[in-house]
Amino acid sequence: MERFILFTVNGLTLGAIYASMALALVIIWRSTRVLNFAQGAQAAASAYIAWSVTDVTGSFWLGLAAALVGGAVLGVLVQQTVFRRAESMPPLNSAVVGVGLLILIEAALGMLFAVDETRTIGSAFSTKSYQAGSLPLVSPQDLFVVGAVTLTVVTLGLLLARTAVGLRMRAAAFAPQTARLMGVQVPLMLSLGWALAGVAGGLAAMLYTPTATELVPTVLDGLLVLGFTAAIVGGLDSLVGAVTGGLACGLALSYTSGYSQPDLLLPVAFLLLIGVLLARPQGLFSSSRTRKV
Amino acid sequence: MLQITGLRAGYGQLPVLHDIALDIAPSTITAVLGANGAGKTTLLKALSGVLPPTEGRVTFLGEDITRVPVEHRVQRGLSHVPEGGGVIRELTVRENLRLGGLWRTGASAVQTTQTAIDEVLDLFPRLAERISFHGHQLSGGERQMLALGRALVARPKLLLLDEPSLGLAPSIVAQLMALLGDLRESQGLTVFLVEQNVHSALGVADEGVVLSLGSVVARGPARELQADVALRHAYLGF
Repeated sequence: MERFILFTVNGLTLGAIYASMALALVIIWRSTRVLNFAQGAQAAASAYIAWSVTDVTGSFWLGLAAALVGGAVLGVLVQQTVFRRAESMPPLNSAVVGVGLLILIEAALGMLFAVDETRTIGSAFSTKSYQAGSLPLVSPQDLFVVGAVTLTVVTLGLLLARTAVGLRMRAAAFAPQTARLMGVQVPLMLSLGWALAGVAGGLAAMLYTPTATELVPTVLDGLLVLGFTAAIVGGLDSLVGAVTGGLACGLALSYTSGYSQPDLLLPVAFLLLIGVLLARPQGLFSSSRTRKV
Repeated sequence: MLQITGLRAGYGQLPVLHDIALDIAPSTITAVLGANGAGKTTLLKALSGVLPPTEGRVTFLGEDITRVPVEHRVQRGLSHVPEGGGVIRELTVRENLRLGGLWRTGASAVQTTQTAIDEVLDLFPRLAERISFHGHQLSGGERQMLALGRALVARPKLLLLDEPSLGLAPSIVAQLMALLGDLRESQGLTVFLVEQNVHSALGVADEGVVLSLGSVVARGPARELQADVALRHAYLGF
C-alpha cells in the first residue's frame, strides 16, 4: 500500500509536468497545425535563462519569472524567424524544421554555456514528504508542481473561453480568413499563441529540471517525448486532453517503472504512444473532426 | 458610397478582373451576376481586401481604401460575408455573433456589441433559440442567418454578400432577399450582392451588374436587365 501511494503521488506529480509540456505543444498545434519538435530545446533555453538569473540573484522565484518571460519571448522569436514561413508548408516540412531548430538551439546552448561546469536548478520547496504515521504522502514540491500546472490550465482555459482575446485567438486558429474579415489581427493572435506555449514550456522546464541530475542542453529531450505522448493521448486539440493525457502517462509510467524497472520508462512511453495512435488516432478529447485547415 | 476605377486583380500570374469601373450609390442593392468563372467572387475579394488589387482604386465614403488591410476595413463600415458564410463551426452561435463586434474598442464597445447582438437575435429568433449551439450543429439556413447576423453586428454601411442563397431552400432564399430589402429601407444599408440565383437577386436589387470573363459587360436598373432578353440569353442563361 505504501508503495502504491508513493507511486501514485509520484505519477501525478510527473504527470503534471508532462501535462505542462503537452500544453505547450497543444497550444501551437491548435493555432497553427505545427507540431513544434523544438519545444524541448526552447524550454531548455528557458531553464538556462532561469539558471543565469538565479545564479546572480540567488532567488528561485526570479529565475522562474525569467524562465516564463524568456520562454514567451523565445516562442515569439522562433515563430517570427522560422515558423512563420513553415506554418504554410506541408506538415512534414514543419516537423523537419522543428527538429533542425531543436538541434540548433541545443548546440547553441552547448557553446554558450561551457560543459566543464555543473549547473543545477533547485526545487522551489522541500521534496521531503509529509508523513501519515510511517506512510509518506506528498511533499511541498509535489503540491507546488500540481498547483502550478492547475493554475496554468485554469488561467489558459479562462483566457481562451471567457475573454475577447481568447475568442480572437480561437477564431484566428479555426478560420484565419474569416477572422481577418471580422477585424482580427491574425498574425498577432498566432504570435500570442506561441508566447503562451513558450510560457508553458518554461514552466515545464522549471518543474522538471530539479528532478534531473544537472542542467544540460538535452535535459528536456525526454520530457518532450513524454509531453508529446501526453498530447497525443489527450488528442492534440484539447487543453483538458493535454492534462488528462499527462496525468495518465505519469501514472502509467510511475507504476511501470516503480513495480518493474525504471529503465522501462521511455520504452513504455513509446508503447503507449504507438498504442494510442493505432487504437484511437484522434486521441481521447480531440475535436478535429470539424476542423478544416 | 463606393467608387471602383480601373480595378484589376487576379491570382498569381492569372489575371481575373480587367479594368472594372463601378459607382455604387448609398442605400441601394446591387446584384452582381454572371456565369461561373466570370469573376464575381474575385470582385468581392478585391473590394474587401482579401485579394489585393494589382491595379486601380477603390474609394469608400471618400477614402481611398485600395491598400487598407482587410482587418481594418470592417471598422470603416465594410463587411464581407464570404461564399458559404464563413461561420466558424467550432464556435457557438453566441461566440460567432460576438466576433462580429470584436473590432470595436473603447469603454462602450462591449455594450454596443451586445445591443447589436440583441437586435440581430430579434431579427433572427431562430438564432436566439440556438444561441448555445456550435456552428457545426446548425442547418444550412441557420448558418446563413448566422453569417448575415454576424456581419450585421458590425453595423456595416456596405455589406458584400457572396452567394447567400447557395444550398438553401427557395422559401428561405425568398425570406433572405426580403430581409435585405427591409434592411435597405430601415437601416439605409448598401448591399453588393453576388448571386447565381438571378431571379431572386434581380427581384430585390435596384441595380444589376453583369460580369463576363472578368469584365463588366452590362449594368443598369435591375428591371431593365431582367427584361433584356438578348442579355439574359447571352450571359445569364435564361
